[in-house]
Amino acid sequence: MARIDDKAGRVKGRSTTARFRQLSTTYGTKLKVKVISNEELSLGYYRLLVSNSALSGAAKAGQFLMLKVSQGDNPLLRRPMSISRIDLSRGEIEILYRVVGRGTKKLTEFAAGMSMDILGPLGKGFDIPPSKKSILVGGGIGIAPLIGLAEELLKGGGEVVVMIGGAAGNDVIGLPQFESLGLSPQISTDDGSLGIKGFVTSLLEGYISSITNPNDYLIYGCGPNVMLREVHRIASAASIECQVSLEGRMGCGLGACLSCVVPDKDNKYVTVCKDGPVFDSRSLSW
Amino acid sequence: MVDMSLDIAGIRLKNPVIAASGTFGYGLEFEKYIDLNLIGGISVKGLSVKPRQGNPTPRIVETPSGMLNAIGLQNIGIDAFIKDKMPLLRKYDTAIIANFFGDSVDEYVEAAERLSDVEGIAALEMNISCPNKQEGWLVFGTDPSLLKRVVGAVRKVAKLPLIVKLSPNVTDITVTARAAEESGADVISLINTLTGMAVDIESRKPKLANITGGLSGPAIKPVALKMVWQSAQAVSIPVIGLGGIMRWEDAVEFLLAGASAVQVGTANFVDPEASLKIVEGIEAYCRRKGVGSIREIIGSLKIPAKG
Ligand SMILES: Cc1cc2nc3c(=O)[nH]c(=O)nc-3n(C[C@H](O)[C@H](O)[C@H](O)COP(=O)(O)OP(=O)(O)OC[C@H]3O[C@@H](n4cnc5c(N)ncnc54)[C@H](O)[C@@H]3O)c2cc1C
Ligand SMILES: Cc1cc2nc3c(=O)[nH]c(=O)nc-3n(C[C@H](O)[C@H](O)[C@H](O)COP(=O)(O)O)c2cc1C
Ligand code: FES
Repeated sequence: MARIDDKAGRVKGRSTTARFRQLSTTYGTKLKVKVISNEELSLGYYRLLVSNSALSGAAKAGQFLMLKVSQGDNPLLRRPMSISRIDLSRGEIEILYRVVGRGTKKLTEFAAGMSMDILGPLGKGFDIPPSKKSILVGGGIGIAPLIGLAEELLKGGGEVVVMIGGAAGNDVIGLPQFESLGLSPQISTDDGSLGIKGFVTSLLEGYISSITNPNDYLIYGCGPNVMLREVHRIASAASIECQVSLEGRMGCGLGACLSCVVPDKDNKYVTVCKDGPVFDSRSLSW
Repeated sequence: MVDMSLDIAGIRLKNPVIAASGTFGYGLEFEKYIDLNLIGGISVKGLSVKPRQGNPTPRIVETPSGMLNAIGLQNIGIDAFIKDKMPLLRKYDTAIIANFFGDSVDEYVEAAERLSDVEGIAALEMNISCPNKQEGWLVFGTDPSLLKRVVGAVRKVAKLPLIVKLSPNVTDITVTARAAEESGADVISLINTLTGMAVDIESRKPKLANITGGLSGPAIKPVALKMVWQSAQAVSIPVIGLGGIMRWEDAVEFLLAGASAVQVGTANFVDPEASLKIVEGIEAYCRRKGVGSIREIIGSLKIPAKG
């Protein structure tokens, strides 16, 4: 499997795939972060704020962290979490998470003032080419990295449209964060309790049906795999460039254990933790 | 000053802590986290003559104090290892151990031949926990006669110290330990993972795509320790102990039980600095115990007299 040459530097004027391959990464370190707050936003969804200026200074939208959620051996492995927002001036990082099992349950026990052991920032974040109009599509907790991305895009003066999907109203995450950035996300829920009834991909299809110049747009997606597959399908059908942020079972987060792999378009395995988590959707096999 | 250095059957180690195969990539993945010059050695991800794709996902699942893996020995192949990884690894002053495997006796032999000629490799480590796909699918390391055949064939071509890594999935580890010694192993390392399984009761499906996998981590330490202790008594060649070593205290237990060196596996995932912390911990322990050399610790377990 061909490895990506991190030292090759950025090369302009290539295809997105080539750009991805050439992207240089700030690769992670082991750090102690201080917990600033850890509060429940809505049933089962939490917002964790940690501070470490070395971390916030190195982090890029779309990268992730490996959190040690226990002192001892249970749970054993670190848990991967996306960087949701980076606050450079305060030296803080925001994480949004959903409690789904033992590890995330343990994460809720961290209180303000406590210290947490993390690895990061890890992986390749979003590639932000200049002068594109961005469409951000998030499902459930997958919205997390898109908040920091929106912030970054707006800083660059770009135009940003956001679409959020959830099973029910309670699962629609990040609304206040996007609103504080001056954005008004379109919303869908499976049960219709908030926004339109249906999938977030229907919102996407509706929006792009009126687009005349696909080259002006870039779709960024993060959420469950079934959703991302559909986002990719819609994007390719409309010839719009698309980046997706994937999840994978992670042992190490460092590209060493080969547990987090996904097949690329040539059916060769690439690692989500090091080659991703953000990929050009056309570089993968769906 | 504690002398931490060792010479195990011609393998020179600056200290007894080696990163275990499959948990440390090709070593380079960890160079941002620890100074690789400070650990005794690195056993690289298992290599085969041809690159391997490995198993479908999910490939790992966490279990109480441990994890199951069924990576399926994905690796870049010996050619790419020699071309892309060795030039970078050679820069480090640590023992590079080439872990390898095959699907048949011939493949093992070819891998050992190729790796023997590579400059900068300190030893070969033969992973025999794989099935013989050419004949009957029996796992090489679980059948003493098959084990002897494959180790004997590799011994004939191997020009470097040969470590045979034993499978714990046997009734009596001393039988396979002796079989490895008799067929020409210079060193044995143990244990590889214990086979296991986990089921998702909601979907009623196995949690691993491969259905079964190998258990590693702190959960297996007592089993590993006992097997290392038994093997160290059964053979006269050096033994490298591993299985569930998370901290220096665990490593010292293995050394006392007769291991000449240890390997650190799953702990690298939890803490990329684990192997280095273990080196430091062992050294401090020796200092506290007033021993001048690590060699005084090895096999110094005190068994109280029965009575
Ligand atoms: C790059 C990346 C970024 C992520 N970002 C976020 C985020 O911002 N917010 C958030 O809430 N969740 C995020 N996840 C998912 C999150 O890692 C899992 O929900 C979490 O690990 C579950 O742990 P648990 O012990 O509570 O669940 P359990 O089901 O008990 O976990 C058992 C094992 O499976 C793994 N696992 C379970 N679900 C997932 C999953 N969906 N993805 C990967 N591994 C899983 C766990 O890490 C653990 O090793 C991300 C995953 C990845 C790979
Ligand atoms: C993800 C993973 C991959 C592994 N790959 C290999 C391998 O390629 N070759 C090998 O000999 N052992 C392999 N092992 C086994 C380890 O080297 C070690 O024997 C085992 O994990 C027990 O040690 P531990 O509990 O310290 O991890 C692997 C283990 C894990 C967890
Ligand atoms: S998590 Fe270990 S290789 Fe990606």
